Amino acid sequence: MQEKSWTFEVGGLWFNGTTCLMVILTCVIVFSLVFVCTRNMALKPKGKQNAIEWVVDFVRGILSSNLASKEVSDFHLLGFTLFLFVFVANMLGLVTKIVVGDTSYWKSPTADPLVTLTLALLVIILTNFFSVKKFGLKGYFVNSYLKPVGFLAPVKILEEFTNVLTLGLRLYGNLFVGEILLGLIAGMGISKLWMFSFAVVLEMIWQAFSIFIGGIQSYVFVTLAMVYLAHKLEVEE
Amino acid sequence: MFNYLVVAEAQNTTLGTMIVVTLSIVLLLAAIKKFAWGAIVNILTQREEKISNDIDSAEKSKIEAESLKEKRASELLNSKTEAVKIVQDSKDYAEKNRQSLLAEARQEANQLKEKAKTDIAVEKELAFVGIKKDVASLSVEIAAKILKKELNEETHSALIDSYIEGLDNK
Repeated sequence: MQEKSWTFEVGGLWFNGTTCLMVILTCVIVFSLVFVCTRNMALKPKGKQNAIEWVVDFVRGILSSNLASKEVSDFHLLGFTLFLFVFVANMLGLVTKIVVGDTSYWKSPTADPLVTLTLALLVIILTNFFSVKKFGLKGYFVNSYLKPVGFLAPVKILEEFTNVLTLGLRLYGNLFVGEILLGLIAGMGISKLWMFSFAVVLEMIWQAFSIFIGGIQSYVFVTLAMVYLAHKLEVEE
Repeated sequence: MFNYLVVAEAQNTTLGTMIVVTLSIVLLLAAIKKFAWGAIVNILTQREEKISNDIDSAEKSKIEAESLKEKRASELLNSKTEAVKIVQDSKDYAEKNRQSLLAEARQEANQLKEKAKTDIAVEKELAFVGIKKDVASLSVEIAAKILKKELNEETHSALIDSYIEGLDNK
């Protein structure tokens, strides 16, 4: 069941070509989307500007329900970028599936655990970084690990690592399962001729559901990232 | 999936992929910040300012309208009393005028009447005098005529004759 990815080597370092290309493609799509939508912005928005402003507003809503109101605009860009990246990445795998022999050439980058865990690690490192930036190194240690009670420090340190795992694996699990089922239904469709039309309908239903799942997961990812960030930034009593 | 997590094995792609993902995300963030985020923030701030300005100016115009309304109401009241005063004044003036005109007319009429009376009296007097003269001259004339006739014998007899003839005829 596990498909292999196309891999290549640059200077002794091996890369997962499929995942890397899909990640770069995601970035290009997100950037083009944002770039095109923010041209010729007007006070009275219309069309594409409305769309991008809706996303900006939506992310601001997520942020302001977790962070202190004066910190929202500081992390608005981060939340916006994460949201769009994860959302577009989730959607990419639904478009099609290219498998040659045993090697897959097209899939959601977020259906790869490495990508989601890297994202999660990045988020957790950033939350710690912003905490150090806000409280100073000593304040960060006291605020993050020794308050409200000192003996919980080991649990709190452990929590940093489990946060990476939960944040990353949740996204990966949802997307990976979606991809597997998409592949299974597609395989069922091409196995027998009379199954084809039935499989097409089933695939459409599953794709629609996956769009929903993808949207929810990108929302959850940004929300949790902001919750972790808020934990690091608020002053413990 | 666990062999993904083992770093530094031949043909292991973990490190490379992590680097690519991290780099792409950071680059994407930087690119959005440089090329698009400014425009979004700019337009949002502008709109915020415009809305708050609009609200302020709307409040100001509302207050202005309110004061204008009060001013208008008081002015309306003023002009009403003024109008009443003007009407009253003109009525008074007209009344006064009427009285004086009436008195004048009455006086003139009396004067005319007086004048006419004296005129009539004078005329009457003159007429009497004229008539008296006429009567006197007439009586003189008649007397003269009678006297003339009496003085003439022939005429006298003729007259008598004529009378007699007249009697005969009767």
